[in-house]
Amino acid sequence: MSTEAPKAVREQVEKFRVTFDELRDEIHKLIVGQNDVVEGVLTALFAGGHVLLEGVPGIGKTMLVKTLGDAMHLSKSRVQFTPDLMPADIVGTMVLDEGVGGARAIRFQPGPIHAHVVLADEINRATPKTQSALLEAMQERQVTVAGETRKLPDPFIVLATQNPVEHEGTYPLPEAQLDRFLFKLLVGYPKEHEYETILARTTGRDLPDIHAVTSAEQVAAMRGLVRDVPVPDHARETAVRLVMATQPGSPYATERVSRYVMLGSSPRGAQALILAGKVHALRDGRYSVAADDVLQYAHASLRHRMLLNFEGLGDGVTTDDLISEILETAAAPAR
Amino acid sequence: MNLNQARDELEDRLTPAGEGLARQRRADALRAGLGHGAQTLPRLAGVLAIAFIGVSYALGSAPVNPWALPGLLLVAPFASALAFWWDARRRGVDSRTAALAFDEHHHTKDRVSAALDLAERPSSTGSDRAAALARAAIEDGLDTARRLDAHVATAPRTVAVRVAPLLLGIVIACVPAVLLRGIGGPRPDGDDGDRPSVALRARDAEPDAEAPADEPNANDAVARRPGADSARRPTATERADETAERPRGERSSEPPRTRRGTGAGAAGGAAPPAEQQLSPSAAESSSAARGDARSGSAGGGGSQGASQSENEPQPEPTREPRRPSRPRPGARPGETQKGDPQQSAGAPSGPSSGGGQMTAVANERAGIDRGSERDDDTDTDDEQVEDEEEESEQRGGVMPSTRDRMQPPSRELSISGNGPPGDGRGGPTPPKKSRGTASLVLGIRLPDQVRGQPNPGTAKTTIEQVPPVPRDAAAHPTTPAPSDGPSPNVQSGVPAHAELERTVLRYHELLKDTNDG
Repeated sequence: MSTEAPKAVREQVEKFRVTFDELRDEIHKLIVGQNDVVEGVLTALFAGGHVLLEGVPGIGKTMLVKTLGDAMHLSKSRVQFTPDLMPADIVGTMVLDEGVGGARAIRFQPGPIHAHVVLADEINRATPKTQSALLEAMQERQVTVAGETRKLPDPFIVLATQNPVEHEGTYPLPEAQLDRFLFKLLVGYPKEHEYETILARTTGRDLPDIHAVTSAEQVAAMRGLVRDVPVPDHARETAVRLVMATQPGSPYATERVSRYVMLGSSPRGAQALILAGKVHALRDGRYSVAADDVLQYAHASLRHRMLLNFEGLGDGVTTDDLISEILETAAAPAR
Repeated sequence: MNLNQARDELEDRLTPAGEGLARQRRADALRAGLGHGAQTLPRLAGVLAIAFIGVSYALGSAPVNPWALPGLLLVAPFASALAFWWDARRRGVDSRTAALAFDEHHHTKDRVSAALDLAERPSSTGSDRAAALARAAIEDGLDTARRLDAHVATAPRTVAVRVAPLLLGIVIACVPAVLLRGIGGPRPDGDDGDRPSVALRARDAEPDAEAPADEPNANDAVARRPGADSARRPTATERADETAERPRGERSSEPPRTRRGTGAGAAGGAAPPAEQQLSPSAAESSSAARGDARSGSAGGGGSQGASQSENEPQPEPTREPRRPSRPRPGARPGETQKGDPQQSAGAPSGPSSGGGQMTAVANERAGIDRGSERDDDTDTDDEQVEDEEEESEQRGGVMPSTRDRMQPPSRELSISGNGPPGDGRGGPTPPKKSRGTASLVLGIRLPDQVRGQPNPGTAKTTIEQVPPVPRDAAAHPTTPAPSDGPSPNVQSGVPAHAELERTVLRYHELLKDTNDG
């Protein structure tokens, strides 16, 4: 067995771990607390997925996106979704432009989606037509306007937010579109001891400076490393068993899942678990995925892929409760 | 080191872990088998006790001492434990399981199991970096296995052997010994004693056998045993106590001595005279009814019904017979439908007056049909569906049923929509199923800010009809348009100024000289 290749790989893994930690620390210069959210966003970034953030206004979602862009030296944009927002407002449109000499020409005016980090604020306030335009761009990583296909920048990540309390006048995302988000992260209120730091940082004259820790090219290379991490059989079995346990009627489904769940996770859920597990293993300095890595992001990967039935909604059951129950019973790897 | 060497070394190092895990599993299986055997003990004891009692009654004596049953029963947990242990020994522990147990024991985050798994795979089909990562993972797992103690001490599986099922099983196993106390052991002289006689039971089943006319009840004959007359008859108080203590199933075998009926239900012993008074057809129907009514028992219920039938009028049937459905257009007037022969024979649906256990009519669906209640609406609906199907087939093929097809709700955006669901026949429009913001635009009064007033008001639309007023055309003279030549426009209307043209020409020449120079 050659020792040269593992040595180079070991260095790459170590660099990944260091870069991840530096990025997290840099973001925490501005974002106080929210450790799970920050790590989840970074994990999704390196796994090549998008994140749906659910939280009330005023808890730093926009600040997180801005800080993330600054820390990685990436372009960033923000779109406030409203009912009258059109797909062309997101992906861009062809405009008639008048040149210096009076020459008129049609040129493409790129929309806000042509950035590395895109914050889709209150995504559920736009019409399904506009939502689908955004989500198509998320999936294909390209947009087609006037017959011309344009690639989106790499890396490309969409952080969409939605408000958990105001549902009047909104268009809830369909299950097929929710499935395209790698994670759904719940952004909660800060803790009591974090308020002091937040107020000190945000009510003063100067904000902490955010330095670029990495670049777009390095992020792309780190994404490639994530894809190469091997997955042993027992870790893959754990992911499959966990996803099947969310599907009512499957042999791994618990009694409450069969009773309360109308729609379980799709194979995209297993993909999300494996990708997140790969990132988690690299963060931990390991070269292969463990079963515990797969279980680490089970809630974030599966909570938006499960649809409760009427009885479940009536009994106040949450998908997080069911996932916790699955983790305790059905998803343990065969020992 | 190549992959095979790495795999062999990993397996060697995991051998002690596998052996320890196998020992642990066998011990767990032993405990689990004991627990399982104890759990199933009450059921096993019940089955054993029933079988023992049955065999004892059939043979006339207990084959073995009944008190040996609890001892026999205690063998079951040990047999179960042995079976579990053997199964665990047969399955063994493979290296993968040993590696997983090793990782779990040492909290190494699946390093060793991942290394073993990756070493067992064929050469990686991914990129070079993926292969390098796999090799790094294998080396990492090997280092971990070398560094840590290979012995795995997993926590023994706790299996609670509960005492309650054990005691319950023993108690149940003691029941035959208590019940068969009077029977005793096998008798070499073949004396029947108290044992039930199969021949007598067969004789009891025959109605005319030895049942005297003043037999108290049919159950008495069923329950009679030889030697019962010679036994001491209990007093009334003892009988009441016995009746109260015995379960319900046992009470039926005790003859009700206080009531003296005719005993017509005594296997039909008294039924023939009653039937002989009827006409042959009525007797036939009566026998058919006796055989058909399977719900009527051949025991006490039947006898009671028969005894009441002599002095009291027949009770009303509990369920009304099915109403005859409307005859089909093509059916003949005298033709009856399925199941009607039984009804036409006058078979009552109440309990049978006899003790027949066989159905007199082979069609078992007759009773089912009589038991299922249907109303006229269902029949009418069925006929309508049949008619529609027939019509559809007559038109040249089976067409989809359009009976329950409703008009889809309109999506027109208009001021209405409070009516009932639409049926396509006019009237109030159905509720609108519009969606999106467009539904908010029309028909809803929106709060608006009235100019000049501080408070919001509502938007109002005023429609005023202005009738046309005749005016004098001569007061407005018209000018005819030019019929030929280009129509005047703004450019042609402005006269070209000679000075301006010269200035523009001079500017362009100057510009050209500047660019050339």
